[in-house]
Amino acid sequence: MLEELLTEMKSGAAKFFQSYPVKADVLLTGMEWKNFHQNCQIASKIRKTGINALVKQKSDHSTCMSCSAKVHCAIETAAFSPIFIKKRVAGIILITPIKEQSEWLQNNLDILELQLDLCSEWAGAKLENHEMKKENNQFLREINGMFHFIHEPILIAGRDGTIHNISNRLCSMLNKTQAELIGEHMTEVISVPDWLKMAKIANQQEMKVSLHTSKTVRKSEPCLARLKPILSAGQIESFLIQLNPILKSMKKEDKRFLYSFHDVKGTSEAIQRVVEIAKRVAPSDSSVLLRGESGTGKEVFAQSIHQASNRKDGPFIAINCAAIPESLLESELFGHVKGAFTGSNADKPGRFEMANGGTIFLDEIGDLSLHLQAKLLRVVQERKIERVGDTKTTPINVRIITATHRNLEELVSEGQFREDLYYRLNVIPITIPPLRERKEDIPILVEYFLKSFSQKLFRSPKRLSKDVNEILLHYHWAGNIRELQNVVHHFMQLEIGDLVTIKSLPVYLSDLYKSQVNKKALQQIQAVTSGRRKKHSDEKEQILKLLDQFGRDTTGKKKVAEQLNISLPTLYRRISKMKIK
Amino acid sequence: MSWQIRKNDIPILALGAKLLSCGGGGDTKTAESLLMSIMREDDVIAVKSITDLGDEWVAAAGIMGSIVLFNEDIPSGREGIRALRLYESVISKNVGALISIEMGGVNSLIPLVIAIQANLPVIDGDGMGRAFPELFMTAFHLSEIPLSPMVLQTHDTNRVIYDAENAHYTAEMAKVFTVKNRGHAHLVGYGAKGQKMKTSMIPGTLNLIFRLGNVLKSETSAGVKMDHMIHVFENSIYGKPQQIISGVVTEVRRWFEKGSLVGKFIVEGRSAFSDQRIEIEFKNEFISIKNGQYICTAPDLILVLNEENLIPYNVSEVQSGLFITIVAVPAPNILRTKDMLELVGPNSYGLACSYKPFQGDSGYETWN
Repeated sequence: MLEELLTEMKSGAAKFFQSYPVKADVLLTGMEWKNFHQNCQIASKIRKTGINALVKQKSDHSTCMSCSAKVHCAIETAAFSPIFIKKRVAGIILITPIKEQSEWLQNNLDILELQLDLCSEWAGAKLENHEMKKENNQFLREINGMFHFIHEPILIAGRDGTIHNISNRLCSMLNKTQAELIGEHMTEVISVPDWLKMAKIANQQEMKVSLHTSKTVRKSEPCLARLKPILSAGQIESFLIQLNPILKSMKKEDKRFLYSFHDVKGTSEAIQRVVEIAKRVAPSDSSVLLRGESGTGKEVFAQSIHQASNRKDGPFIAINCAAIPESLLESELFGHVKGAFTGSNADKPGRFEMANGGTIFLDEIGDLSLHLQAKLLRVVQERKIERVGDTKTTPINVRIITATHRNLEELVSEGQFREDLYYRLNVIPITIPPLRERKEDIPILVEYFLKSFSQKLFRSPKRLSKDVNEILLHYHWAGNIRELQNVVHHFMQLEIGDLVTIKSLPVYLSDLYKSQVNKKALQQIQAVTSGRRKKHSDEKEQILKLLDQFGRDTTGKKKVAEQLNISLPTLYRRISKMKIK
Repeated sequence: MSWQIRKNDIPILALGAKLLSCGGGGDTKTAESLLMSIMREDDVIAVKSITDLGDEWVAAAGIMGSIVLFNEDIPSGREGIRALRLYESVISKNVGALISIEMGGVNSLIPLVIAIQANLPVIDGDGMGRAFPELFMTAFHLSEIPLSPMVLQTHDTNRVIYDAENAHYTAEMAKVFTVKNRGHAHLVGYGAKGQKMKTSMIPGTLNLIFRLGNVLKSETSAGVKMDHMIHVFENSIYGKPQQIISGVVTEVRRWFEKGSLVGKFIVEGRSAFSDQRIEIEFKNEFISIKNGQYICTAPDLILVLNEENLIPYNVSEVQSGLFITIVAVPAPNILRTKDMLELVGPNSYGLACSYKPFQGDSGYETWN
């Protein structure tokens, strides 16, 4: 390949100088260079410095004269010019006179200089082009290789819809081969309207499309397409498309969308302390009991603990014990065998088995019946389960995280929760603080929900009015973060302008505001009356002080009245009203 | 919940303040040294968070004018407290807490200098959420907290601006004063009751610069620092930052235009970004990232960081040949609303484009 290029370059260089009585030669690094001029001092100088060199007469040139190869060197007169790729010397153009034309070259080197520069520039461009082609081919081969390996159903399509590459996985979904599809149009894969819609998309996003899954019949299957336009100089050149069948992709996302500790928002000491504890216990296999009011984020913590543990590549299975009828919960948790009960026509693994190697999260554990508590205790103690109706036990390796908003101690004392199970599960209790105990985190949470809803609902950014801010900061948030999220969702949907006002709050909150305003007015009225009362007591004190000073007889009282700038009868009236003795 | 600032927290806060300043806001070095020299080891400055604010009178403090002149003509350190005392005599009441006008650059630290001398708490929040060039570009102004009465204090003179018509006019008068008096002045203004202030300020920014400073000071690799920095911003009222490019600075052009340092430079991408070339424009702060078209503009935050240690550069420090990383951070929502954009949007910097909120890659995080 390189030889071919060299020949091509040599003939090109010769053409540059065909009208002159000279010979042009091209020497490339890594080829003839070493053999031909490994001892040539001038060539190695050019290689180091990248500066042109002219040798008018070898005997007059100091470098040549000090060269050890001067005796074997046939060149008497020559011009050298470096060839560059990315500012690195990649070769040399060498100009030597044809027979008996040394003198011509010596006299006309200046004329050739420009030609020589042009020639070396051309040679540089040629070499660079060659290297880029090589690199490009390499990339293409790597990408082709990758498309063979990966299990993702993806393809690359050009702006015009031509399929440039497609993964084997997607081909098998389409029941076609790579060879059949590469070079074909996108409409072979998805419907025409879908493609037309897709081609208009300028930024990364998701859309639903229907995928042609049968060769003969035009059968289609709904798919979630994730589309990433690849831009070059601001123009879309191609699209990277991932096509996931909707059901499968949902399942996958379940696993992927697990929360981590970075999703726990808030800088308050209350929440940070809890996050610290949870982070510390996460890597171990200890059972964790998450406590906290509804909506405080118990499941977020459970997922975060799983994600920060060594089991993060294993499954995370969550089940709400209060949401499933007791009769079904047992088989749901532990599985059943065929024929265990009416309608059980196949073996079914329970959640514990599904969580094997990972984490099981049992929410609302306080609602578990005593019968299931006993069964759970056995699993917690022995890490073995028995499917309903089965006689054999299966060992399992799961970490158990439980959560409840109920007071377990109370349930234990009332006999509704087994004490032994309580101690088994309560190895590391983590209490998640309610929102009202970390109100300084409200601005961060509100901002987070504002940003995420404005993106999801395509709403312009909004800010909160003073009153709304006040309400959000003072409300008791019984429903905690979930309630706050709903409130933000509510006003993001309802508020048309940029400023969120009381009107866009849910009614119960705006009513609260109204009653607060009334309360404030009431407080103000109370303040006024109490002010009056205060005035009253101040006056009484003053009168008493003056009476003590001037005496309680009539002369004294006259002086007091004078001091207070009131008449004597008024003073008498006040004395009796204030019950001064 | 309130917390406390100690002497050894000052360099951390200074570094965080420089990061949030987006290249403007003035060098924090002078104010940092001043604080280090006046604080004793056991001195503490109480910080009040949004839930601690009540009936106390809160005033904003800072400096204005030329930061170059401020650094050359080092203050005695008493100007701030003199301005505060004068302000208190003007409004005939005591100030109960101080708040920063802008949490970015030197003005993040000036309230601390005054607070330590006056034994006052400072508020965890500010008026801008970053650095902006004008006094009226604040959330206080948006919430109708008047800038006046405002006190300006220099080494040897002062000026009180009473009941000015609006913040623009007050700011203009203040500028005239500073130009006539050595080019810079301490100021106290934007006074309001704590209750009003807590719903008008941009909350949690003092705590944010402290957390950011801690990340930058940590002895870890740039990659780990970047990761931590992203998480700190995510857990704040700002959005998820996104690294735009890493590469080498070329073609820096800088000039003065009506007292502002204006210019642009090119970043040639390296390694993963080698096919990209980005232009950054600045006007006191970094104001836009362009790649043929605008990718991010003010008021979203543009951070220019040293590629090796993520220490931020300000606009005057950027030079050809520097290896830098550029990060864009979505601004708090309040800065992105229509009213505020009129004050701090791309048009206010003379950019001929409409504002498009920078989304970061939050929408795509699940793709990876």
